[in-house]
Amino acid sequence: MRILVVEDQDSIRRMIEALVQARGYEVTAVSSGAKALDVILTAPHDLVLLDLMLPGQYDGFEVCRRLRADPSTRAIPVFIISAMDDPESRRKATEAGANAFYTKPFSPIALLKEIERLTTGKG
Amino acid sequence: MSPHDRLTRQELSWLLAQEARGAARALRDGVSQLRAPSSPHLELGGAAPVETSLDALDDAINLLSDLQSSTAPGKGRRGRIDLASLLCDIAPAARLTMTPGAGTEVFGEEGELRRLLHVLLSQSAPGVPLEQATPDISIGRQEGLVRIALPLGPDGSSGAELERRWLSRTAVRHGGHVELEGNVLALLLPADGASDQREVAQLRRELEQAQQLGEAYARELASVFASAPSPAPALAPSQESRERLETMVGSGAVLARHLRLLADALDGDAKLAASALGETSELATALTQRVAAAAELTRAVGRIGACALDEAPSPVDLSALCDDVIASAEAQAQRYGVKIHARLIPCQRTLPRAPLTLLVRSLLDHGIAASPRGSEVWLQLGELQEGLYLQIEDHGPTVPSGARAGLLRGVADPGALGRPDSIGLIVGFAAARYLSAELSLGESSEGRFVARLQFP
Repeated sequence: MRILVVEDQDSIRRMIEALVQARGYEVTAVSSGAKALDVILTAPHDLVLLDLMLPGQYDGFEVCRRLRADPSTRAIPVFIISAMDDPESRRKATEAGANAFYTKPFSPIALLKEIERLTTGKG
Repeated sequence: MSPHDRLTRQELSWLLAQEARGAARALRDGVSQLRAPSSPHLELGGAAPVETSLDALDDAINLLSDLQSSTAPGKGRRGRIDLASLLCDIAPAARLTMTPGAGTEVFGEEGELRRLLHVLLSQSAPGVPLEQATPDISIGRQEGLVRIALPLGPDGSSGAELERRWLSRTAVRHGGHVELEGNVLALLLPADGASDQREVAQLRRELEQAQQLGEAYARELASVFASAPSPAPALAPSQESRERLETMVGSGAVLARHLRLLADALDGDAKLAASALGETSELATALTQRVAAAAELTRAVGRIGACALDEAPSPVDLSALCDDVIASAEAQAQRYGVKIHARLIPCQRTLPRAPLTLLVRSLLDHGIAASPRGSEVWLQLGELQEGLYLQIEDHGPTVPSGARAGLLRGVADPGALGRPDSIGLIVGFAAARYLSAELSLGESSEGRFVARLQFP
């Protein structure tokens, strides 16, 4: 099971990477939306953990929209982890095709449970 | 009391907007109840016009509110304001009773507070200019609040009632309230120190909550890491593959020493020839080219001899490692007139770094040497269902499938196949086996030569 982590803050990216690796998942971690789109088209992934505020051309909403628009990535669950907790951001994320939305700071165990739910369809 | 001491137009419009909004909501609720299914016997023929009127009323209220907010007067001084001093300023003739030792400062905007006091004082002495009014005012602390109390005047008009409601709403907005006990009206506002203390207390509570949350999350993280399965050990190299690479590395170290001596001697000869015959002479030029080739070979063999095989496997960012190798090979690519391009995905594997670097560099060197001037070498790191792969594609001649294994083992003549010396492939093959990776030769879909590494 392989997870793509898209997060521009180094410390949070490393923490999520270590967390999901500790649970036995393989991880690819990138810091921008453009890199995420490159990676997901080059290598298969089972889940995308996506921040919303990303530097560069594509923010998290746009990455999510593009994943949903491409038939080869349409079915990959997208899990938003963001500091943006306003209803408008949640609405936009849902419209862009996100499957789940967590706000920072987040409970590591709750995050892992949600990952398990999304990757196995349990819960 | 001067007309300026009463509510301003903006304040009045705000108050009216609040009142009208409340009335409209009540009216709309009433209409909804009348139209509810629980009252089927009621026919409300005029419901639609009522709705239209209510909508128009809503629009008007919103417009009024917008106007009120957009034309609000500019803010005055903001900070710690002493209400007792402000009272003396507004109504110098008032009889002020102060509780000794009590701070009467509040935190706020002076203009707003002044307006609040104006309206409050006007309740005591309606129709009298405040400069001349002589109300009995008491001011002091009541726990964390500053309390200003005065007797109500004789004005029982709807205007006075409206002002008291405005006073009450505005006091609440400032964190205080208004009390009416018998004939005494009191305005209570949070004292400056008290509001600071409340803010500090609130911040402390938030900090404690954040600390508790952080500790809880840290415990969760620790439990996740404690229960994590230990990482899969890197595949240990087989005895045969270890011995093969060790032999190559040992031979490389010895050969590199000899080659350096030879290259240095050759370099000296070339310089002598250049000084005797001139730098542009045919012999000097040929010697210089041979010196450059010898130096390049010496460096390549030196890299093999310098490979550390006692290094433990560690997490390696393969993408970054490829970037480093490309950077180190740029000078050689320039000498060959070849461009290096890369398409890399970020990925990590637990491997010994030195043999991995040697492997990638050896294959890249071979691709550069095989490609004609002006062409390109592509390095691609990707992942497919079968796993991680690294592929180096060059513009040199392809090799028939029957000769590929011999080329990798050094038993086929690369010159007969149109390829350069295959030392890079031979070393690469040994290093790949050492790393439990599989190196194979083939052709790309465009019909170009490809050396492909498949990692487990």
